[in-house]
Amino acid sequence: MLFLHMAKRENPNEIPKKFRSLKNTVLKNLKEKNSDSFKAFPKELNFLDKERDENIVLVLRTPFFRYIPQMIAMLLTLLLPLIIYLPISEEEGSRTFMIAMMLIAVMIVVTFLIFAVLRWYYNVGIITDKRVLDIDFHNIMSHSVAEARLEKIVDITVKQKGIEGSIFDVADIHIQTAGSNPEIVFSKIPRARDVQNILYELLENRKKGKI
Amino acid sequence: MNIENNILDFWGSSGESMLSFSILTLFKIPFFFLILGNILLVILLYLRVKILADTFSSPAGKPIKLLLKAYIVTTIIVSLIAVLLIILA
Repeated sequence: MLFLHMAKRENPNEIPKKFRSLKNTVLKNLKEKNSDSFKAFPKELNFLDKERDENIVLVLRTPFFRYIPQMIAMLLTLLLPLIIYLPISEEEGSRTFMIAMMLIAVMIVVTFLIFAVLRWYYNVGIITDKRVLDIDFHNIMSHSVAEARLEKIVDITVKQKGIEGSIFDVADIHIQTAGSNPEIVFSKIPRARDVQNILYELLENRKKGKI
Repeated sequence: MNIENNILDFWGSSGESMLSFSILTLFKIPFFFLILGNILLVILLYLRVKILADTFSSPAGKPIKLLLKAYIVTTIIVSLIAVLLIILA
């Protein structure tokens, strides 16, 4: 029974059936350079209200290096107990207080490191064969989910700016829509021009009724 | 003259001890707030992640929630130790 189940399972490296029949498409070569920031046809990912016949084409994230400066800044917090300790070093019980301060500082730093990792993980852009979704984890108090159907997309613009963009080839993708939420922005995305081409191709195939 | 000097010495010494006491106490108070703030931050982070994990589910979702639960427990334990140390100091 287990072998039968294994035989029935789709090869995780294969793209979904409906895309295999398309001719001259960039979608077929997408899986070649997969990374955590640019993942094509992920099998095990899901989102709320995903339709049964809907396929996730791309999952996009800002590369993790963007969070490294924040993390280094947080590590500097560990110096704060030492600075506070200097004027009170002569006092009775100051060593015990120093240990308490270090414990608190380490805890705060770890909390913010975890927060940085989770922000990277949950700031995600999803492109399916039916819609575009942008999940933004702004801070501990708020997050937002923007969504637009492919039919509603009017224009896709890639804006690359700054040294960061030139060095790491990351750019913002502005997706103009005709809906009530006029613009969806994927910030600092790798391979932005590829994403733009993929979106145009999906739009075209959707209009022709191929997907 | 001696009496006057003695009075001045007494004032000087008592003033110093008052000051040293207040400095350590002054440093202690904000740390209690920091501990409370950190616990609140971790709990809020867990709740936010719980909502986000429902919106966007992935194989990593469950381990992340478990890790955060474990971190909440760790934070509370470490915070209690820190409070104890601050009181003892």
